[in-house]
Amino acid sequence: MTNKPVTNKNAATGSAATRRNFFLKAGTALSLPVAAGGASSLRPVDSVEDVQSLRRLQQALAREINNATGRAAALFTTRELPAGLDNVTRLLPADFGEHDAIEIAADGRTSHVTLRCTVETKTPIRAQGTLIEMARAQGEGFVGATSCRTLDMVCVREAGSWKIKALATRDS
Amino acid sequence: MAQVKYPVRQMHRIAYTKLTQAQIGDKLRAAANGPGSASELSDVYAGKQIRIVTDNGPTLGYRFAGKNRLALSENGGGPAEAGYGALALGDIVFFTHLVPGTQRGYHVLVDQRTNLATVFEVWFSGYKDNREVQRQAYYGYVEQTGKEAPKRRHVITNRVEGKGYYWKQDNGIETLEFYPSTAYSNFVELTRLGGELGFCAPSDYVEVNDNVYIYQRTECELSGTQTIYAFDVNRMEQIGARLGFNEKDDLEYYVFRGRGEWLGQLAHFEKFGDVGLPPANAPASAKGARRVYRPMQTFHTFTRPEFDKLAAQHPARVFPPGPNAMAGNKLEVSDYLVGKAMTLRYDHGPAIEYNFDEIQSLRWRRLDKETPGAGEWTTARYESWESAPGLIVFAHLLAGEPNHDCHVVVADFDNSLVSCLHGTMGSPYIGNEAQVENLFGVIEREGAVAPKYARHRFTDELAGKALTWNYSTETGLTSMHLYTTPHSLSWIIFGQDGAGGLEWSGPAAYVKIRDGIYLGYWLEEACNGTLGTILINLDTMHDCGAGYHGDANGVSLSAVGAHARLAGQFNVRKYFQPGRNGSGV
Repeated sequence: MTNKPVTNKNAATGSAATRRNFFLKAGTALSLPVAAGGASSLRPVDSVEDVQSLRRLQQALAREINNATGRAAALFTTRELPAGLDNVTRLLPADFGEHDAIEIAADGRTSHVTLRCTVETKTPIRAQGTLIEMARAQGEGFVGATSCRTLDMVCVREAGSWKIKALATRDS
Repeated sequence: MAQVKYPVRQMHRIAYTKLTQAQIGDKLRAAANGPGSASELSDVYAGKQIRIVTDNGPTLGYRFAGKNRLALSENGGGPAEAGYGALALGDIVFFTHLVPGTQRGYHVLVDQRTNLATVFEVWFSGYKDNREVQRQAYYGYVEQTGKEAPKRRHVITNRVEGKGYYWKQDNGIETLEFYPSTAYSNFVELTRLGGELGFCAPSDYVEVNDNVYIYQRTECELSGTQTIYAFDVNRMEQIGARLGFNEKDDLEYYVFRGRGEWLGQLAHFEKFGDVGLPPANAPASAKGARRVYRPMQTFHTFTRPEFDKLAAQHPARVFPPGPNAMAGNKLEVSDYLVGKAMTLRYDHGPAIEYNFDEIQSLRWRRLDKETPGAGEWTTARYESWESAPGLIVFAHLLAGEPNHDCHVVVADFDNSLVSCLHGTMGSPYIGNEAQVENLFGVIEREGAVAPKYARHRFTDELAGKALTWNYSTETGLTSMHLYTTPHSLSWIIFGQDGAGGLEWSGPAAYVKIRDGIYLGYWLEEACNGTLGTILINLDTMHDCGAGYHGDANGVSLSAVGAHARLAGQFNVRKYFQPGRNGSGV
């Protein structure tokens, strides 16, 4: 699983900037801690609705992955799953959302979402041979692992709804 | 004493005819009058009518005119007359019939005490190999006028897993049948084939009650024949049917009853409380779907000239560095041989002189003068392991020999004895299928006199034993070996829940090296073509050995190493004693 830092391109200058840099420059970015059950609103109602909308996006991502629907890619602007989700079979919220955060840029068009998750992966065993082939034939032949990780997502508003522009995971 | 009927070709070597749908239709006409039977058929249903309702399956109305004619109404449709045969075992009634004018039929089991029923719908021409019997199980009940439908059903189970029986049918057919998996089973045909090898087939296991179970297997990738029976584990009796086409393409359709002998019970590896009920053991959703291992669909075969060319183009891969899923738990590479020199002199085989220059580099030369190139030293990469003090396994390829030859050697320095598995590439059937011969001999070296008469010997001590092998702690890759006969080995893959899953088997042989230490090989014939070799040490519960394989990338020789657990023992050795009536392995 990759663990690269999330970077955004500053739309105004075209230069690469770190996420922190981006939001510092944004200056008036909204930062809401998202504890279990939702966020305490410091902003107008439309921003709170954004938070709820982003929460629903997270939930949709987890639902599509956990149910292996094959529809998770539709939640991304690229319509492709990022490398950070390679071999991920389950995403489960951790710590009752205590460490989750949603930051929405002042223009309301970009957000950064940080989620602490329990991530279950099934990584195919890289080998050949009779036993591996048999294991694959019965739907197995992978190494299962469970780890506590943080998902960093950059989301953008697209046609009125939030989509995930970038996603990476790192050790929690 | 009856002469043992060894087959001209073992089942995995028979090129079964790809029967057409029309040919099968013609052959099934012979079944219009119902199945044959060596025993008298039961008249338990003669003159009666029953209606069987199944969940998500057909409703079957039966009117039994006698003990071999019935009229069937499927889902309320018009009646069709057919021949049938029924047998009873206590409260259990089993009957079978085909539907005239079709390639379908039903095997029905009714528990008269509970009125619960299991229906196996069976049909031909449902897979690209038309002769392979397809099946779908439905669970239901016999309708009782004025009574509510029962809530309970017969269920898929893992409670048969690990059992093994000797069965003798009323027609004289004797088999050993092992159920080491929830999805497969293993059978040794003692009378049909002389009992040399065990074969595997996808199987179903259904619990009728605590005493009675239904077993069904279909010999996929072989003749496609189906065997189905109910058996009582207390009475050790069975009633059932066999349906399919034999190697002569003749229809076999008969009911049988048999008596059994309990052979033992292997361990379960599922969690306590897991009795194999769905969804953990859920049947596939598509009608007739089942998990089947079809190795020849993935094995890329070559003719011998094709493979020789490939082997010339690709350097042999001999104990390549890097991860090896089959050897994550291998023994540490031994330096025991480094600096040693010796000659291994095999009876009726070569004499080979060795110098072990480095931990993975040796020189060898043949001393038998009549062999071309004899006397010339050849350097080879090898790997060795010390299974027990003074007991070394090493393996290497013999470059320059005619058949991409390899030697896997067990050298017992305490006893100056040596055993060798001489692997070669290419069988009469497939150019990149390994073959093997056992060589026995002595170690000649300075300071030790080799025995003149003592040798390692073939053994049947492992027959019936089951060991699990965990090849890699990291990947969890684990299988179970079941040493089904003195000449056969079966391997079973576990599912995530610990239940036995897919299974296959191959010819094998076992040599006793020391007490509790055995050299074994298995050939993945008509499978992946691999020769697997292991020295099994039951004291350390660890093995070591090598896998020898040929594919599009040429020849490979790689390490095998795993941790063992004892899974149990079937008491089968008495069935393989020479002179036993009916088999003589």
